[in-house]
Amino acid sequence: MNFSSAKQTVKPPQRGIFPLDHDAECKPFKEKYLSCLKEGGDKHHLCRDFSKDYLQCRMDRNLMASEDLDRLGFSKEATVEKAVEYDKSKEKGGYVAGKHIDGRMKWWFQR
Amino acid sequence: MNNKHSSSPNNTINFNSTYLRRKFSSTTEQQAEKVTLTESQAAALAQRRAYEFYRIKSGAPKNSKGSSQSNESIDDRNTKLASYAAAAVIGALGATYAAVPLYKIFCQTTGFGGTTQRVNLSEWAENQEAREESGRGKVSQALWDKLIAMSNVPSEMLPGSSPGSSSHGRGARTWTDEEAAAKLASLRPVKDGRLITVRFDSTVGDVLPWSFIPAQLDVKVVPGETALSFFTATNKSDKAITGVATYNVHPPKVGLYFSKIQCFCFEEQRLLPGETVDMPVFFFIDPEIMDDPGLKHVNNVTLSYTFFQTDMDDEEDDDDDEEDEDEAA
Repeated sequence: MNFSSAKQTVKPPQRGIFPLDHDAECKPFKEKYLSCLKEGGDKHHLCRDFSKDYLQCRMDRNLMASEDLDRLGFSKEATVEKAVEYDKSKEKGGYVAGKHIDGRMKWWFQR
Repeated sequence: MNNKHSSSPNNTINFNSTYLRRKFSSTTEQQAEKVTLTESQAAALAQRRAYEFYRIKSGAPKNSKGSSQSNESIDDRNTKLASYAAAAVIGALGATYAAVPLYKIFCQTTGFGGTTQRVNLSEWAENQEAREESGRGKVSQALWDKLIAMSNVPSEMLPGSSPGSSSHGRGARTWTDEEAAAKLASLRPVKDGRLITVRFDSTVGDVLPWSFIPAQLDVKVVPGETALSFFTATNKSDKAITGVATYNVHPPKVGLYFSKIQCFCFEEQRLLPGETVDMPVFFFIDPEIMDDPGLKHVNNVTLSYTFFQTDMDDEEDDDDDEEDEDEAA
């Protein structure tokens, strides 16, 4: 149980629940995806094809509702081109207060 | 003449004044001696003498209705004041008692502070049969209800309610299926977006003899990109056990933008003894997180899952339950 005082938003998943893969039919796809992640520094957009393969495997074996993968965020337009990784400047700079402020923040009624 | 200042340091008063002699005329001369009074009595006496002095001075008749009224009016006023004070105290006490149900009603109507909505009795009674059929023992049922009440499972996600179509959900908070599907189809990763590291964390309830770990420590995702992640669960006992998972996102504000397309939470998952199973989570972070000034510098998000046990099957019931599972799946 999380006892944080901030209001927790918990939403149901959009497509429901994955049925359990009891026979480990899609395990090889999963292993390929995980090893790709390991090599690529855990960046998902480099291993997008492997996750696509895994979901396709699930759909083929009736472990997931069949759906066009393009509509699930694997379309060509949804490719990640450039991604900026956080350069850990705060950790390296020693967590100096106020250093990260680079612009005026707007109040909710100013937006 | 009346001498008001005749009180000596020992608080003894000499009844030498003519007024007092007249007032206490019932007492004999012998008793008109030095009488020791307490301080408060002396003060009260002095006050009365002062009132009477000014009354005589201004020519008002003594022992008339006016003077007795003013004498009594002090008592009256004191009584009045005391009753007002008592009424105020009782009123405050009453307000304290009334505040408890009033606040409850306020919370129920507005959902302030995360108060869950209550199910009305007829619906609960309707689900009673379904609950009994599900074969859960009374204790585990009570635990299950308590778990649901304590967690923040939205009512649509409770097992037994209509799965999949959130358009029949109770509130207007969830999208209908078509809206969600359309949004997902048009989802685009943010251009030159910063990579957010989603770290995975898992906990297993004390009673549950499962090992439940994330298969990868973290995944770096751009907001708007759909990503896949895995958890591995192993049933280490020799009985088939059913568990249910809940999740939490930290920092809490990111929970608004953390959308899951498909996962394994909030529904009972049954593992046979010794079975290992991979559980995927398919999620994305809403691109609107870039517009949130409070989350501008969030680079790490933690998604933590906790598994709880709901039921443990005995060996004899295994066949029956498996049949039910096949029908339900």
